[in-house]
Amino acid sequence: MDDEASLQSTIARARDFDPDAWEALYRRLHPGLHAYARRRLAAPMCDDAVSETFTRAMEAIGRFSPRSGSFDGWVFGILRNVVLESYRKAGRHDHDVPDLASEEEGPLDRLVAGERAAEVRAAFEQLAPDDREVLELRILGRLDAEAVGAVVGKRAGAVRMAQARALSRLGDLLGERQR
Amino acid sequence: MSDSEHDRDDELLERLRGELLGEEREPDADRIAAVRMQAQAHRDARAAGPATRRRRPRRDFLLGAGLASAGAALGVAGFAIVDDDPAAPPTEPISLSGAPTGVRANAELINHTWGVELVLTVSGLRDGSTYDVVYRSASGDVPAGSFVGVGGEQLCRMTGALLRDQTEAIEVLDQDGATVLRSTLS
Repeated sequence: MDDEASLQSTIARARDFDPDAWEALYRRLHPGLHAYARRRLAAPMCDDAVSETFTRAMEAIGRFSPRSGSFDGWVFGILRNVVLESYRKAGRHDHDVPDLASEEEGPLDRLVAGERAAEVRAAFEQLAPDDREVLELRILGRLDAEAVGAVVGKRAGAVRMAQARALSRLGDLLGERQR
Repeated sequence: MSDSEHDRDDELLERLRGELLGEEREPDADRIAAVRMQAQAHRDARAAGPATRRRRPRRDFLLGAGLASAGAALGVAGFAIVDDDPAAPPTEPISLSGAPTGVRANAELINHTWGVELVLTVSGLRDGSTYDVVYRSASGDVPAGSFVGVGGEQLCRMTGALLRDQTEAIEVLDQDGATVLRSTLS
């Protein structure tokens, strides 16, 4: 059974609330979901956000339709709503949202070795927020352009353009800094 | 964009994935146990039929991994554990107004660090009708879930991502959006 067939089988069992299926889905999606949350929420809130996402997914699994998009994209869309609600709950206080451009070492620090890490991180944070989110969903969720579009409310073509723009911008920023 | 450019972008995205994920860590065992318990509780509730809908798993089942793990240790559903938990958090009784004829209700709030939990005991709601619970605040409304009326008495635990000190009112709405119950909070 290939990966896609295996996933569809797991989703089918999840509709019947098979605990093994839900554990498999949780383990499969946790790394990407947690990383997405980590880039938007204070660290102590991330686990709760992912858990809340699965709570909602479990309650709504009966309404999930593959015709509307991928399962992974559907779950990332739920997490995105959870994060936005968290912002609202916090009154959009800055202290509840990590400063992505802080001096704390971030994931991009490890993109390249040593001295270029800070440059790469700074470049990533200079992307337009919408473009950055497109890249994060493409990267962390491994979502295709159609799925990302469903999550953020854009057409697939617009997502591809945003991705190309963001990658080009990253390259330009890093190139400029190297000169 | 050419195929080779697509391939190059895909390669770069995959390379970035490893970096953005950082150090992958195993999900907490408590969280996994909570997921499994909630799935089982859904399955049990469905197998038991509509008469037991009142005992559907709590909305906040996964939010408190500690509670969930306590349930796992005892081998019973988490929503049953909380009621008997001697370390249960303090509750705040609230008054409800606007109850239609034949509907009786009382409610308490639990002030969690992550939001407010409404513990609602209500009877007389239309069997099979769906009701939504909404928390009102100065910055907008926050949904706190929905439930199905069973006609007789039912206990519903609803949670919303709004802090207690920001929660100005709580309303239970019927399928048409009309207010069935309301509590104005101080």
